[in-house]
Amino acid sequence: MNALHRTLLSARSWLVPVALVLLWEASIRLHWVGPNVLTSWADVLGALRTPEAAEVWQGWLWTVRRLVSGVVLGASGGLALGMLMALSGRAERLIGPSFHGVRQVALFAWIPLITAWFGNGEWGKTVFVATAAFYPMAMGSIDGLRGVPRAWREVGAVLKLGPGQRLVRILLPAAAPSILAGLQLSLIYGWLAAIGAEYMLGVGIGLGNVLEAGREQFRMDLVLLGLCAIGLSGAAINAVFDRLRCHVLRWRIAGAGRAV
Amino acid sequence: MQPAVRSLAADVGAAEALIAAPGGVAQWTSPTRLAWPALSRVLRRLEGLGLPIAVLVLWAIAARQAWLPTQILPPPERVWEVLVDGLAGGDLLHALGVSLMRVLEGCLIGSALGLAFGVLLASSRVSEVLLYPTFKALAQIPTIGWLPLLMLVFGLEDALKLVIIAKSSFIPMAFNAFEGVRAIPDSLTEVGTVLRLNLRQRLLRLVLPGSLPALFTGQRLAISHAWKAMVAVEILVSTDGIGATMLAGRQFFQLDVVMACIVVIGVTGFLIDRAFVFVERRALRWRVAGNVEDRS
Repeated sequence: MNALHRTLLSARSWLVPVALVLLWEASIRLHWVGPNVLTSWADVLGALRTPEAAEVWQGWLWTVRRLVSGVVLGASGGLALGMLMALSGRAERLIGPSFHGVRQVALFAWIPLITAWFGNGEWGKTVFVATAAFYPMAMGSIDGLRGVPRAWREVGAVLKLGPGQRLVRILLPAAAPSILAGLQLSLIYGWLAAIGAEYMLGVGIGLGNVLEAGREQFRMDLVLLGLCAIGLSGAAINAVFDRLRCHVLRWRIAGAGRAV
Repeated sequence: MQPAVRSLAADVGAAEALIAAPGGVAQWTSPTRLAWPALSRVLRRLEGLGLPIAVLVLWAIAARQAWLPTQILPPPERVWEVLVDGLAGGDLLHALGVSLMRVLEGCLIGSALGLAFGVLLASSRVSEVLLYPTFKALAQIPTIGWLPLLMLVFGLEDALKLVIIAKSSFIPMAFNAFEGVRAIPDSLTEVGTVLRLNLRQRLLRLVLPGSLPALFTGQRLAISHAWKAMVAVEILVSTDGIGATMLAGRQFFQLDVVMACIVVIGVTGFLIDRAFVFVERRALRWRVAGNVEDRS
């Protein structure tokens, strides 16, 4: 009975999506909207079997490649700067105002400048993804390292740890949740930036280019397939990262349990 | 300095003043010493200017020595001229006005709808179960992902820009309204029930003040997302506005225009956010006061 109740409960949250899909299907069957605006989900699934599906798959691979290289570049830069600013008062005073000033510029406003300097090709896109990934990581590491409880720092002083050991044994583990949250945001922003850059620059191969090409050729099935790929990949990045974070931080959670 | 402090501290009246002084011993020094902390504080503030000045100087030297072609790296004074001329002559100012109006309009629509939706989600269990999972899943798709779909539905006109901006402010507002209303303590809700408040009273006296900080957070995020979405959508579908000006500058390889636009976008975004924080502090002053009372 209880299990049935729970299934019913979880089924309820599927009501609206199912209704939306039905509405979608009905609006096509009853010709409320033209085929240039929406295609049936059967067509979207059918597009998986067309030769263009290979393009979507190719595009996905390229976008992920850009994401990885951009995030590695941007997040390591962000981590380095964040650590510098959090651990040195002088660096914070020197760099802080400029950092927060430059952060005010909306991300996509950098596209014209970045493409002018780095070109429309792979470099321009990677640098843009790196820019997107840089800020959340820097913010996350600053927050995390500043928030390390004083008592923990004092433990380091009592144990007479050297600066390197303090960083590795006390500061970084203490700041890990915040740093990982920053990295997760970096990945999400990077994903968005990679697709945005592909879409806006319009050259090369990528999921963004699939969307753009699909829109230009009125291939709604491809556009929707691309959208699904973007949404699912974003969700997958999030889910994998959540798992990873739980795994990496399990000592913390266990420790908290013992403390209670 | 120590003897001076000690001799003064011997004076009973001064000692009382020392205890009474809110800043404590820091202010309790001879005048000559007083000048130094102030000066060093000013110097510390100015340290932040060091990096921008260094970059500017390097940039100016690089431009003067023509290390890079002027097209790639216009001299800083040229960017400054474009900025001043554009703002004084009205080109940039006009573009900025167009963009600001667009952001305001879109954000107003988006956050009003988001507020209503968030309150609806939080106030009824049924609507939460029915709508929240779908909403959360759809909110995961970045605005840029919706663009091609929305382009086909709304064309490339102003409507598209408004919809995109409204959508980007809808989501943070809805999330925060939902969280804020749900976080209102049960005890307060029960007081409302005991007092038999009607729906209007409930909304105005309980829900609104109770969720106000979250609503402010939502609104602040909403306007900042709207601003960013505006930049993206204007670069992508450019007809007018600051993003279009910037893109035109890029196409003609006038990087001075591009850089001036970046400055305008950054400064305006910053000012909007500051203005918002200012209003938020004012509006939530009663809350902070209340918290202090609670603690004492």
